[in-house]
Amino acid sequence: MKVSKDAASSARRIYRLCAPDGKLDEAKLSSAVASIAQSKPRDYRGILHALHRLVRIDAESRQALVESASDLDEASRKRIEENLNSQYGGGLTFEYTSNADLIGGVRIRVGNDVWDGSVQSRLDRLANAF
Amino acid sequence: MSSILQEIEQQIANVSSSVQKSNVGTVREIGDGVAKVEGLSEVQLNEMIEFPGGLVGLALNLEEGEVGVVLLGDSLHIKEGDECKTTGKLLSVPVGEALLGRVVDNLGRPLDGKGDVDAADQYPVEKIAPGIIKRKSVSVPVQTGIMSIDAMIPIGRGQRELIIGDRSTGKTTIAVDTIIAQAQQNKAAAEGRLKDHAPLHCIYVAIGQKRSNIARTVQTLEEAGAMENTCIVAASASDSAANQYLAPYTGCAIGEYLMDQGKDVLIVFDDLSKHAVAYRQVSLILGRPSGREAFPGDVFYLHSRLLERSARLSDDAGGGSMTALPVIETQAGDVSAYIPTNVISITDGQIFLETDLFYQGIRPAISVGLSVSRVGSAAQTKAIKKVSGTTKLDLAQFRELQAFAAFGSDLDEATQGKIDRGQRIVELFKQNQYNPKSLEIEVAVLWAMQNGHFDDVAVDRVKECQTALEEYLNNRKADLLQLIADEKALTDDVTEGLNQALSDFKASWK
Repeated sequence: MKVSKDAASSARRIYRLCAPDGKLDEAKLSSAVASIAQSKPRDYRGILHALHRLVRIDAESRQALVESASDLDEASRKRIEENLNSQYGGGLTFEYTSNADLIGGVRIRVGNDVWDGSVQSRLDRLANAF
Repeated sequence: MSSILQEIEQQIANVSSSVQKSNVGTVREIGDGVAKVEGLSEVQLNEMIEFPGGLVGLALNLEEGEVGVVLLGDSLHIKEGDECKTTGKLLSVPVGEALLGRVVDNLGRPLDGKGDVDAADQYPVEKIAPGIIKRKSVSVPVQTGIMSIDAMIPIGRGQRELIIGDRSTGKTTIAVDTIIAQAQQNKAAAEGRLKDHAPLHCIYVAIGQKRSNIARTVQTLEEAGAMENTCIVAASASDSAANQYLAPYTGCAIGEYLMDQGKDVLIVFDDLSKHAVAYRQVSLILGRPSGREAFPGDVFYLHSRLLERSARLSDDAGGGSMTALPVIETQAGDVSAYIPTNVISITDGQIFLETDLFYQGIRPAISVGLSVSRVGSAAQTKAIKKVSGTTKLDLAQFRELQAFAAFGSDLDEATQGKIDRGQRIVELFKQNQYNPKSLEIEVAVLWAMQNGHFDDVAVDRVKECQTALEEYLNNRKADLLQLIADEKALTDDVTEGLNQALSDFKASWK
C-alpha cells in the first residue's frame, strides 16, 4: 500500500509519543491504535499501515535471532544473552535456531546488525581473499 | 615451491578470523534496476551494497524508512525478502596502464575477450576534483590533426572543449581523429622524430551507443594503430541506465590514475546527452523530484563534477593533465536547450557542427562563428599562431560578404579579394575523416595560404593542389618538415625553406 507523506508523518508523530524514552509503551500504542480505528481520521488506513511498519521495525530491532550449527547449551545461551543485552541496553527477545550450513560457530542478527562467527563465513572470507 | 607456500600461508594469516560484524537490510521492492531495501541503518551515500549471488548495488537514495539501491548487474535472481549487506566501500574500479588497449565496462571488467586486466590500483569512481592550488594554466597544445580546429579553435592539455551538433554531423569523427592523431604523434616521438612531446593517452567513453557503432570505432582505431594507446569504456544502449550513468565516472577514474602518475590523458565522453537521459531514468525510478524536462534538479552537478575532474596539474602535484572532449547532441541545432546550455557553461569552449555545412560538403562541418576556445592561442605553438593569426577574421568577413558573391562584377577589388580568399580557406579546411594532419604539414599549408600561394589556383582545384603540395613536402622536403617539427616556430630558416619549397612546387604543378 502506498502511504502518503502526511499519513507517514502522522504515524511517526504518534510513534514518538508512544515511545517517550525510546522504549515503546505498548499500552499507549494499543490505546492510540484503537482510537484511530474508532475515529477514522483522514487517511487512517495509511496511518495505521505506517504505524504497523514502525512498530515492526522496532520489534525486529529488539529481537535477536541466534543461529548455530548445533543446539547451544544453557551456559552458552546465557553468555550470549548477557553480552547482547549489555550492548543493546536490555529488553531483547531471543530466538534460537539450528542451521547445519554454518558448519560451526554462531550467527547472530539483532535488527540490522549481523554478528557472523560461523565457520562457513570464515571459509568464504578465505576464499574471497584468494 | 617454498615461496608459493609462504605466500599462501601469508594470505591465510592475513585473513581475519574474528567474528565479523555487518550491517544488513531486507529487499522490500525490486524492479527497473532499483531495489528498495529496508534496514541498512549504517549505510552511507554511494556505498556499495552486496546482494546474494555476488550482485553489487549502489546506495543512492537514503530515505527515512528505506534505502534506494541501484543495481549494477543482472538482478533477475533477487526477490523480495532477500538479505543484502553494506560493504563499507565506495564504488571503485581497477585502473592502470594495463587498461590501455582494452575495452571494459563501467566496472572495469573486460569486454574484449583478451583476458583479465592486470590493474595497478583501485580508484574511486566518485572523487572530488583537484583543488585550485593544485592546478596550472593550460599552455601545452593538443594537436588534433584537424586543421580548422588547430588553427582557429585550439585545444590545450587540461582544457574541456565541447563538441556539439545535431545527429550525423561528424562529432564522433572529430573525437576519433584526435585520438588517431595522438597515436601518430606518440609513435613519432618514440621514434625520435618529435622532440619534447609528452605522450597523450586516450580514453573513449561510449555512453548509450549502439554496440555496432562501438565495434566500428574499435576497428577504426585498430586499423589506425591507435587502439594500443586507447582505453574504451563501453556502456551501450542495451546496458542498464545505472551502468550508463556510471560509465563516464569510470573513464574519469581511469584517466585520473594516469594523470596522478604525471601523464597526459585525453578523455572523450560520447555522449553526455544520453548520459543525462540515463540519469533522468535512474532518478525518476528512485522517486526523486523532477524538474525542467523531467530531469532531476542536480543534472547540472552531474556534468559539472565530472568535467571539473579534467585539469592540468601543477608541477608540485605531478604535472599531469586530463583533457576532456565531451560530446552533446542537439535537436534541430538548438544550442539553447537545457542540457546543451548546461554543458556549454561548464566547458572551456565548444566546437559547433552544423548540418547545413555538412550537406554543403564542408566537412568537418565546423561553424566558425559559433565555435570558440576560451584558452585560445595560449594552446598553440608559435608556428601555428603565426600562420593562422587572421584566419578566423578572414572567414568571418567572408561569411558576411558571401551574400554578395552572386554580384561579383559589382564588387570592388578588396571585397572580391576577401571573398576569393575566404573560398580558398574553406576549401583548404575540408579534410577527410580518419586522416589527421601533422603539425608541420598544417604549418606549411597555412603558411602557403597566408602568403597567397593558393590565390592563383581555381577554387575547385584548391583541394587537388593541397594534396599535391602535401605529397611533395612529404616526399621531397622531409628535412624541412622535420625542421618545422623541431623548431615549432617560423624561424628564418623555416621561412626560407618554405619559400623555396613553394616556389619549386608551384613551378612544377599545373
